[in-house]
Amino acid sequence: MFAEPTRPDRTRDPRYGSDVAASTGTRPTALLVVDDSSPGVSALAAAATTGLAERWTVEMLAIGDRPAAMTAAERAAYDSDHPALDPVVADHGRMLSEARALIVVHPTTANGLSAPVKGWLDRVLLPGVAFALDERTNRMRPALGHIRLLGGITLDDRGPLERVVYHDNGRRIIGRAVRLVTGVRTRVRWLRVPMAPDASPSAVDLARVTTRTARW
Amino acid sequence: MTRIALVHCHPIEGSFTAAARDTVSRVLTDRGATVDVIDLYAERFDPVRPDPDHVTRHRALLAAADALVLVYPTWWSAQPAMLQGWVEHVVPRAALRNRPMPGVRRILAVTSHGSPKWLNALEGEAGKRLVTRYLRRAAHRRCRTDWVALYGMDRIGDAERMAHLERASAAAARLVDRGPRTLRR
Repeated sequence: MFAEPTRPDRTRDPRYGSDVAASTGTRPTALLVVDDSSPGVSALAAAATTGLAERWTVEMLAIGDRPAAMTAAERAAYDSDHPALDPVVADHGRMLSEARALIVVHPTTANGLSAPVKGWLDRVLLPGVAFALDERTNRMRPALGHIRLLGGITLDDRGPLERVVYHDNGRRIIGRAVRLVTGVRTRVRWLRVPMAPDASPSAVDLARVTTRTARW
Repeated sequence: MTRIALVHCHPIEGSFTAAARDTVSRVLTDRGATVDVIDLYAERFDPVRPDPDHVTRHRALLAAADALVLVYPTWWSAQPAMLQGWVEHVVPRAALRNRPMPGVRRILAVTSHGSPKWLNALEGEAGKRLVTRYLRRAAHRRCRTDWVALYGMDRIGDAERMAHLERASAAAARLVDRGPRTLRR
């Protein structure tokens, strides 16, 4: 009597970031930026990679051992034509230019992004990579319009009241500040694993991460 | 005598942020306050795996302070990674319950943004929330915060920059001048 409900074919819907996959037959690339300085985060990243592999080609950047703070030379070169002095930073910028998703995996510390992830944003989202300055108006023009998905997976053991009162600055930075250079059509997905930043997630938590990220 | 911990975070010594630090420090010193400057880049603070001696010394300075002053640029809507890492390690969330800055009754943030104020509001002002909510929780329960910010720095002239330094000076002066009432232990 009734037709069997069918799920929409997300691989052909550009809103889901898979238009490249539909047109070329290859999966779009998701860049996974992982603060692996905490042991539990590496397990989260592995679980997320398994889930994301359903739809994406995952490229993981482990940044726990990378310098977090922008150097004086980098800051001095920021407004020049070649702001990326570190070849690794330049390489990460190129990878971001080719990716269709940016997902950060980190422990929530001080109500926000961990220092390595914030440092990655500071050093890699440079003029020419994340945005361009219009010389006539001196206004910022977004340059990451090809990013269709912004995401975050975080170890965060704060209770509901604490999250309401003190907010989630990491989610705000990714979902609002970075989204300004990707575009309003970019989807934002956030997954909180309720564990202490230095804890190791259980098998149940990891399975949940895999299941949830498989739908991203 | 009022004791003030001043945290400065900018990689370039001749920057506008360094000028703001010098202005604030001079006003505080002229009014008789003792200023303990924590210059994160000059001290080569490691925001990911800091030297335990750094952390111990900075915690001691914060524990003895009557007020905290932060001078930094805002990058991607929040503190630079250096300052974010400093907060993570020197004022960790696990220590908030014990109020690691028990004498701090005033927190002053002096910062600059490349983008205009409306854009920062759209971005959620994560940096402001770290100061007014997270750090205030580590201070005296009656601690008040003061936010002195320069917006749209890429499109303004020297007059606006000077006005910002004057606002920072006035805010620093208030820290000490209102001391008998607001900074009393």
